[in-house]
Amino acid sequence: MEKVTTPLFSKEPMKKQIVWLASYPKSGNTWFRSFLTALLNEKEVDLNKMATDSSFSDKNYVESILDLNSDYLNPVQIEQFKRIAFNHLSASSSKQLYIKIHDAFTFSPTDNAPLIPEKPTKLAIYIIRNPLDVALSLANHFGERVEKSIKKYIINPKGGMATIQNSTNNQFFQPFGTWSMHVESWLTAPTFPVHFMRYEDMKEKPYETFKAAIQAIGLEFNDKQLAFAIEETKFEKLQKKELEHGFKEKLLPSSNFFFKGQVGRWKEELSNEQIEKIREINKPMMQKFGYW
Amino acid sequence: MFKYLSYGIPVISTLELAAFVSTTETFDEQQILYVSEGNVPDHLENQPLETKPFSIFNENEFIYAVPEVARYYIRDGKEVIIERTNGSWNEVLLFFYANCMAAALFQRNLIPFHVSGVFVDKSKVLLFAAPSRNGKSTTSVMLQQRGYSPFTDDTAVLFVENGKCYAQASYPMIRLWQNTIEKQKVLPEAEKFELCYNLELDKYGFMFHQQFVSDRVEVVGIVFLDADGSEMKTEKVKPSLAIQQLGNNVYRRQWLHGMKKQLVQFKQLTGIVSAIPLWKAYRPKGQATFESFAEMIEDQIIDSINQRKLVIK
Repeated sequence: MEKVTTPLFSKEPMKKQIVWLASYPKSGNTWFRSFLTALLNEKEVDLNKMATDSSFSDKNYVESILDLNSDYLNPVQIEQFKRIAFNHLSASSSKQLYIKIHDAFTFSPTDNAPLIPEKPTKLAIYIIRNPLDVALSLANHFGERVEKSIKKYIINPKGGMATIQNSTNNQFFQPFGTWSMHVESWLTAPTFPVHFMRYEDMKEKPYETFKAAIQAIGLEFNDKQLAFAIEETKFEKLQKKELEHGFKEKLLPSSNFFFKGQVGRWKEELSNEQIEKIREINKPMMQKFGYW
Repeated sequence: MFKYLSYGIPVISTLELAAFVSTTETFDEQQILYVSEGNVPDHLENQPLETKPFSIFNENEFIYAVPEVARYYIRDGKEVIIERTNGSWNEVLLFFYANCMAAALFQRNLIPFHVSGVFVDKSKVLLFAAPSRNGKSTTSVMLQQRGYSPFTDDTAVLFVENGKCYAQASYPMIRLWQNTIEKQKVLPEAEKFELCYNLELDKYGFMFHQQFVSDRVEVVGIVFLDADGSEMKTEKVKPSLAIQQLGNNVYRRQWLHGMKKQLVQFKQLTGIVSAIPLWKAYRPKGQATFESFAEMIEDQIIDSINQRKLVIK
């Protein structure tokens, strides 16, 4: 199939409006999106009305831009058409766009170009969390045993969400790789800037950590506005909001999205064998980001 | 030449459109939509009001192009020209059914809605509104299993006349994912056909030409389907909220602005919500509810409609 990298009709000049809010799942992405919402809106957060702009895996979003039903597209079309959609989105937007993404930064087997379009990208904020804690949070999120989450995701080179084959899932397939592969892909592959922020630092030194992120994005807010947004999106507050008003992004009705949010839970809850298994496979990036 | 009816519109086509219902009716010349193969222009005759990656349009003209598949030109709600590029005819027609008919309807000031539906008695239908992949077809098929005839699977045009709401169905094709096919007993597995020959797709088509009603049919209510919360339940939707809910289920609602149909839409929505009751039916996210969800809709909505009719009589 011939490569299709440009849209047929919209020929607007490319603008770099996209800020990817990237992370391995359950690493603080929603927390950061809530923080940005509080900061940009300067008011209390409504979890179900984030100020950020959908996600890279949202089929409905892409379908609405391209006026089609993605159920009838083949994998090559999906790769190419998603690029076209996000290029168009950026080119036609008058404001900066914040788009959530859990995909690892990978390349197309068809044309070897990145699946995540680089031309419309200003930068990415990559939120990273200790995989030992991520494993526990994933298990709660998917309603699975921790052992299964470790095997299926954290140490699985073929880990991912949704299916490659089209299905009733409203999300496109998202490749993760192992936790370490995910981190490394965003560390080494993109040609655009990537600002890394650790979940543990968001907890322990929120002011410096969030400030560095908004400076990287190029947003200008004063200390008072920053402090308001940090205070408004403390874990306990978000947890309370979810309990009171629900959260539409929650996967299972039986579990809470904002579950425990603690740092170092793994020390109490993972077995030595589970810790070793995660460490063995994810050593390079665990070492690099201070989780060793 | 092939003659068909779709959304109640007489269609004359040089191409066979297997999903549509054939007819031998004599057509009113003014109402005909002509479909043919030909060359699609590169530009609209008049200034475009909206330009998107695959679509360019204004109030009366629409060009849609899918790379390596086909290009389509729809004008004045009266003409569709299809220019196949590299797609198989099967693939080319999937985009025709999905987009060309919707564009032609808008050009005729008709508003298509994303709904499936079943007959709750001989002449009245209950519709289920939801975006793609949210259970419209499954709910309809599970109710067919409980004895209700199919009305439409994915879209219908709605309009209000003398305080009553009517619907006109698109065409007699049901599209189902394999997991739903396996859960139902009303559509024989042997009758399923592939929707896209060159794609490994676990979704199949079924025709229901024999049961299809081309005429307009009275609507007794609309149920918005939602996967949210931890339990199955239904609730009435207040008219003030119903307008927004219904607006979200206009098929290809992203075209309304560029095709200058906001006013037409507003009149339709306000007319519909004042003419019929609307419900919301919830099922838990990520759980297979199939039969029990349909049973709940029958118990809590269809039975209440029929009960009300008895009281009125």
